[in-house]
Amino acid sequence: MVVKFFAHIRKLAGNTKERTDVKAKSLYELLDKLSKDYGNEFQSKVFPNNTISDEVIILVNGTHISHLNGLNTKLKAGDVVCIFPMIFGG
Amino acid sequence: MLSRYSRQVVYNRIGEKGQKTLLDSHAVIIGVGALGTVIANNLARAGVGKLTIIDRDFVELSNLQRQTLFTEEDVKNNLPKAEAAVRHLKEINSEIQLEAVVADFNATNAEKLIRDVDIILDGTDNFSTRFLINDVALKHKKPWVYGGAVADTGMVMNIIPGVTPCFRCLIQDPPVSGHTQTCDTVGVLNSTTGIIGNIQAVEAIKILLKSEAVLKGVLTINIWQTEFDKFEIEQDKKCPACQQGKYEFLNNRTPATTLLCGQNSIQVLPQQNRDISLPEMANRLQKLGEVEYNRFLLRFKTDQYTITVFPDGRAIVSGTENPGKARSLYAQYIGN
Repeated sequence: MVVKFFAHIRKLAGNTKERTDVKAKSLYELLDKLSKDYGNEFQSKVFPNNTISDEVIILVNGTHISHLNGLNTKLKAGDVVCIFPMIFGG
Repeated sequence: MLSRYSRQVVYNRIGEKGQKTLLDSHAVIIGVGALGTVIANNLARAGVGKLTIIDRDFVELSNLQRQTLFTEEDVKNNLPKAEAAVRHLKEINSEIQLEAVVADFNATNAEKLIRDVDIILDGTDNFSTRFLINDVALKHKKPWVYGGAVADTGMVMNIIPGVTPCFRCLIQDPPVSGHTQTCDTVGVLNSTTGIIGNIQAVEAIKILLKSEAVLKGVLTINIWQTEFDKFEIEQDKKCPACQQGKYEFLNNRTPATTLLCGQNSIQVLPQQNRDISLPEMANRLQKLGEVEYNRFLLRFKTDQYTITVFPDGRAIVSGTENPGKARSLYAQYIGN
């Protein structure tokens, strides 16, 4: 599985572009592991109170997770997970 | 006539034929702030034959750091942004048609404003207008180019009805929380909006020329880290907008603002019910002005305006009777 971080989410993940070493069976498990790896700031912006922040977009293989099974979306080897913020200034 | 465009006519992907297509095209730019001024400048210089510029706001001194068409004189003259933009664009290219629309782009006027255009450029600063643009663009089969920028990061996506995923495939609903980052709370670099606006403009040209090279998927940038990334996105087979044709934002014609008679105030209603944490909001806003709050409301003073916010997201903006200005302040400080 590849987890990719974009825009300012990358900063919250210690300036990591992508991770290939994380194993998780569900999106919930993945976000829980990432929150433990990157600490409070990552968790509060991405996974507050173990829910997905409404300011973050997560795609699994290009599909928005709200169109899959949300936090219960199953993950497997080879999946690509993209995590990025909503950006609406202009 | 084409000589003024010689440097791009000689560029082989445009050529004379492409230039004529641009001259026959009509683009609308919704919102002429940091992104919109960059887009309008490029499209006017590139010879897009007709530009309609829509904006609800006035030029202020703090705009000049990044809104590249405007001058101190525009601030002194209290010019509406659409009007000031068109004045400067006429000096840049007097051979194209330019139209200023000083108005709030909303569900009541959206269809009329985009009916005759070939492409829509997003220069807005809030999500609710972008969801509305998405609806009206899909309904009338008009391509549009989303751009967003905050601090050192930005994003661009082309939405071509019937060809690409739409904005609601990327973002299902507007965020409801009261702590969304805005340019007024975390700032924005002019290079961020400059690069994003420039990319939006060239994507518009590619779409108008029906180029195969249009950006597919989503581009994100972080200019402080000098990072550019692209990723693919899939069409949502159940998307209410592009698959089911439910245009919820276009069909929501409830007035979002109400003038409060004799109070020099406007009430602004959120697009949907919100549950705002007033202490969190106070913490965020106290860097920007005077804040006081109790469990029922939060009062924030900035410049000559006072914004009173209730936990359900309703706000009263005092110091103006202009609904566009009140909505703009709401978008700047409270979020969408």
